[in-house]
Amino acid sequence: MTSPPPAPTLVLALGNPDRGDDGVGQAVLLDLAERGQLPANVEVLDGGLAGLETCLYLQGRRRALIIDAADMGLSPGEWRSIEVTQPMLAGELRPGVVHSAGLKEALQLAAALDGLPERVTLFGVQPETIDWGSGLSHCVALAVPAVGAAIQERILHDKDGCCDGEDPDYR
Amino acid sequence: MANPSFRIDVHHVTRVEGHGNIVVDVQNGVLKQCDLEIVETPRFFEAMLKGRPYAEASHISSRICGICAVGHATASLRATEKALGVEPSEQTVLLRKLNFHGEILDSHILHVYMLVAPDALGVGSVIPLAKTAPDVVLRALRMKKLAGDLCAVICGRHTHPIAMTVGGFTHFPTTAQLQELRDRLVAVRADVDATVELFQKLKLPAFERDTEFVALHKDDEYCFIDGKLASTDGGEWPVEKYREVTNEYLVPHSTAKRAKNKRQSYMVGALARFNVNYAQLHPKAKEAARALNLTPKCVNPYLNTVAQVVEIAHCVEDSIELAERLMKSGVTWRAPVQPPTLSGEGVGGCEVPRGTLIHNYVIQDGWISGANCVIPTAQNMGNLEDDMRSLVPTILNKSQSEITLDLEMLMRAYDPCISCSAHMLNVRFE
Repeated sequence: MTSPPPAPTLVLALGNPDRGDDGVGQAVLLDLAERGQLPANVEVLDGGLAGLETCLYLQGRRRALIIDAADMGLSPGEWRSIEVTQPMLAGELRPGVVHSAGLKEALQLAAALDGLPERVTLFGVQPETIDWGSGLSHCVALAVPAVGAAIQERILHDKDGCCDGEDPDYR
Repeated sequence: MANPSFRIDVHHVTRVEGHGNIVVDVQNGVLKQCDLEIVETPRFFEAMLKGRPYAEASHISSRICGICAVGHATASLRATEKALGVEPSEQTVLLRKLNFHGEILDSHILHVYMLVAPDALGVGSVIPLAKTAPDVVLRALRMKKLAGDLCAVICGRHTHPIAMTVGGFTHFPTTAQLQELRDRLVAVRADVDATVELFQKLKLPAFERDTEFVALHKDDEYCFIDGKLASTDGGEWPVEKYREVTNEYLVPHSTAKRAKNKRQSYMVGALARFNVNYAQLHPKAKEAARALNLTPKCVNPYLNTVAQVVEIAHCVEDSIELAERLMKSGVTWRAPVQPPTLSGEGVGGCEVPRGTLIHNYVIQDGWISGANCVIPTAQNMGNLEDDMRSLVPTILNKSQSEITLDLEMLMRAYDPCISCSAHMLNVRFE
């Protein structure tokens, strides 16, 4: 039994919705679902706390749009889209990380496996809190529709699910 | 270098739950000091359990470890159930066994592929391994994902089981989910064979030291849950008498307790299980053992990793059979068995990836009034230290970096919680 090839474009949410604003990725997926059907070449996936196994989700993709809470020293709810480049992933894994790998380590491993999509965009949202508890903070909840709209626009502007020229500033 | 003098100070081996140091001091070719210092801050889980309602115990104690969460939850549930006179149904027992295999597979695959294979293949870590042998790393990730998915289907999520409760489950897999798991497990046999082939090629150190091995044992199955404590030095003990086996004691240079039974120290874990329970292994796991040239009683601690490979074969085969049995009998929603009493004392024993785990609770009117947890890594510390003391004098002709690597590999072979951090050893020679 051979599995069908994966959709060329992956929208991947990472994070734990029981850790406050760490659930922003899942909230964006819900927002995207409410915006209507996405093109057939797009797969939407809630990766939860996938760790190094995120590599498997990226295998065979041409493009990945990843949403996660990211502490960037901004105000809660501010967000950035960041194009992930090979130089960002240079170097060794953080020591001791194998039992608790995060997105960077998964991308490093995907790059080493030659399985990094041609284009990886990280949508990082500054959390207010990632303490225990469900539900987003007010500021982060306000950012969700904007992130969802930005991802939808990127997807709809892609003809083949891959690179589409210069990035607009979505902030 | 006929009579070398050197000191190896592996400072603060940061581990997931704490810190440890290795100190080796050799003067004029004589080993003066060889200590495994565990300087981890005590975590007081037993104290946290006191005063909590019995139904919370498995959820609290599963947080002791993010790798062995199912194991801690299962040992906790068995301790509680025995204390309160609860007999789980056959369906519950089968689901727990299947769930347990998922965690053993997850942990062993991580250890043999991500932590040990890079050493044996002479690469620094999994990143260079991914560049030189991507098929090996992808296979590991694929197998690990299946193990995690198995846990999620049975107990509600990959780590820290939410659906396991005293007397049963609160969530049940569908037949379609079990069928999918079964099919994926059958498909992963090729990856198991490839894992065995890989470890046939890998060369691990030939160090041997006879010691005592302790594991839970049942006559009719390769035991991971319940059973009696058994020793390769002879003797069986009901888990309720675990203190007669563990004999925990303190040493000045460690905040982790040590354990000893019939000798100065003993070993638990995959190699101990293999040595104690070889007869109960699945035939395909015995085939794997033959292919890997592993026979009981094996006294090379480095081969604990090879025993883990054998257990991977066992757990895959037994999981297939368990899934088929569950599908044949049909999994039905059943309310958890309610305890007939709310007071009592119970001991739960499990074989988690790193070895024998004991939870012992005293419950009064539904509230936990006393708790004791005996962790495998703590039981292994004395044996690991004795191995180090036996190993170092035999490798004094090596360079300090080679000696450090041999010690790191030895520590990693035990697959302690600190093994994941052993790659970041901050080694200082004086």
